[in-house]
Amino acid sequence: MSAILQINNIRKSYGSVRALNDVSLTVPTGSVYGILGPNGSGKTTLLGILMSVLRPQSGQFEWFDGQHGDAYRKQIGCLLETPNFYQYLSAEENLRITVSISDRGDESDIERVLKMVGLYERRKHRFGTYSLGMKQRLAIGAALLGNPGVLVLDEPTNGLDPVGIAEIRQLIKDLHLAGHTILIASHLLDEVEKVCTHVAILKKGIVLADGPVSDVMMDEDVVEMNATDVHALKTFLEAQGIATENDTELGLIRARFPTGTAKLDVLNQTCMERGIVLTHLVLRRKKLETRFFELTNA
Amino acid sequence: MKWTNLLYTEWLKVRRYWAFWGILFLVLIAYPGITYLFYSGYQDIRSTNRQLEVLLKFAIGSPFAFPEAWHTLAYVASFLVFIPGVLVIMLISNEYQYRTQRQNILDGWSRRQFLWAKMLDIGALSLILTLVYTLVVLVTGWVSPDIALAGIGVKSYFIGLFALITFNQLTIAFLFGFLFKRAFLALGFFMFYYIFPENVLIQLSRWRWHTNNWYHFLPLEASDRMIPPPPYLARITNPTDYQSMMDSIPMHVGLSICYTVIIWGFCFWLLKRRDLS
Repeated sequence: MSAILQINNIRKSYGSVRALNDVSLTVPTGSVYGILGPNGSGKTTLLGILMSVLRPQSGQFEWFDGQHGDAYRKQIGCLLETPNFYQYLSAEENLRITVSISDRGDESDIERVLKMVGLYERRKHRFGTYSLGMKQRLAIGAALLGNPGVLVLDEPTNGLDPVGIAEIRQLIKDLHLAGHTILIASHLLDEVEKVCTHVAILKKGIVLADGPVSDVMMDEDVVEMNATDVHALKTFLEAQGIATENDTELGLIRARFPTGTAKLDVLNQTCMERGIVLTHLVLRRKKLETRFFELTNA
Repeated sequence: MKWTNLLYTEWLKVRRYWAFWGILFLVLIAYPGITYLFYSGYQDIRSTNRQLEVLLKFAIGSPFAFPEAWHTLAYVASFLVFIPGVLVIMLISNEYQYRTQRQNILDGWSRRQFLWAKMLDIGALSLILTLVYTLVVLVTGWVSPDIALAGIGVKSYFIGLFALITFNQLTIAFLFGFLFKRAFLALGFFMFYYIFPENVLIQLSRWRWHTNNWYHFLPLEASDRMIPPPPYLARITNPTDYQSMMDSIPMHVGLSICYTVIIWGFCFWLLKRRDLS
């Protein structure tokens, strides 16, 4: 898979605070790339640098195989932090300005995106009269103008109600299926786990882990087991040098294997050969939330 | 991106900005309004009695007839440039207040294009004000009882001087908006600078320090000296200096152009380095 964005050793400080510390990432074309991190981890700073509104102290990044200048931003639909529009203009008039600047979309496209984000009926109303959720929807609509191949979304579900969150989540999935690349910063772990193909976890400006979501989450295989003779099972596993822990609440044993080495069929057969009858055998994927807390020590 | 596209985008921004149009309307009526005030005052004095009329004509000539109308009204209107300065500060501080400056860049403008667009705003405003000034002069010269159409083109170079003084002083207003970002602060500092520091320095230099004319090189003073007082006023206030003031117009034009270029150059330089937060 080719890269649509290559980031090399980006560094950024605000006074004595190091916001980004030699951040390097590769965003594959067609991926939904989540940037996760607690508040103040540098997610928005990174996106701001990638969209050229912030200047890095050092490092480079390259969109679209090294297109230089400012024109690359016209190919990217972007929502960064808060929705920024002219308060005294309507949704429709604000989007006309976006079209005029970005050269993305036209009058019919404005109508299309306003319907898509559910603001068509309120298109003539002043932006200043909108609720936070409506402002967020308009910003997402502006990013979708001209159907750009790349979207950069910073906390896109901020201020949205549950229905709005589900709609945006579905929209991101649909855009992914249509081949769009989406870079999304969020602190909502569930959101990222549900829509992202790739993820980078940031803490205090340092990348703690990055890659496909399955790789980042699965730093080890965890197998849940139970048997008619639990004591024999535990003794056997420990004799094999396999780390175990008891879940007394559920009455299970959890065995930890290096990533990709837990073979359930082999495990079942070996136990059977030693007269241990398994009553429960499941390979559990670690939740992103668990992995995130492990990495960030939160 | 073509400059017409930049201007079109700026037009989209202000088209339904009623506060902007309200203040522009006030500016546009202020020019003919103040002219009418001076003109009718002058006519009233003249019409009081025949002797006074002759005396006035001898002392100050026909300030509202061609060609002197160009000079008189440019001088009067140059005192009002700070009012459209408020508009310019509104335009730039709004962009900071709503963070739309940042959004314009995110949407695809370069930082340079953003500033070019603002420069076009100021150019367009200067053009509108110059057109109003020209129109007011033409109407005043036409209705003046001392009508002298033969002299209509003699001092019409004041159109160019008025356009330049307007562009120059609106650029100074822009600088305050650009640096201070908040409308309230920018307006306060702009008005303060417009009224106090240079004037205080000039008066101290003239009457206390008795130093040379270094203050002619201060930004606003250099700009003001592009349109010196009309001859009849200069005769009253500073008769010996009038010709030297007229002779130094080209130097002050050059100085004002330099200041304008330096200010815009500084803004381009600063915006290129600034984080847009």
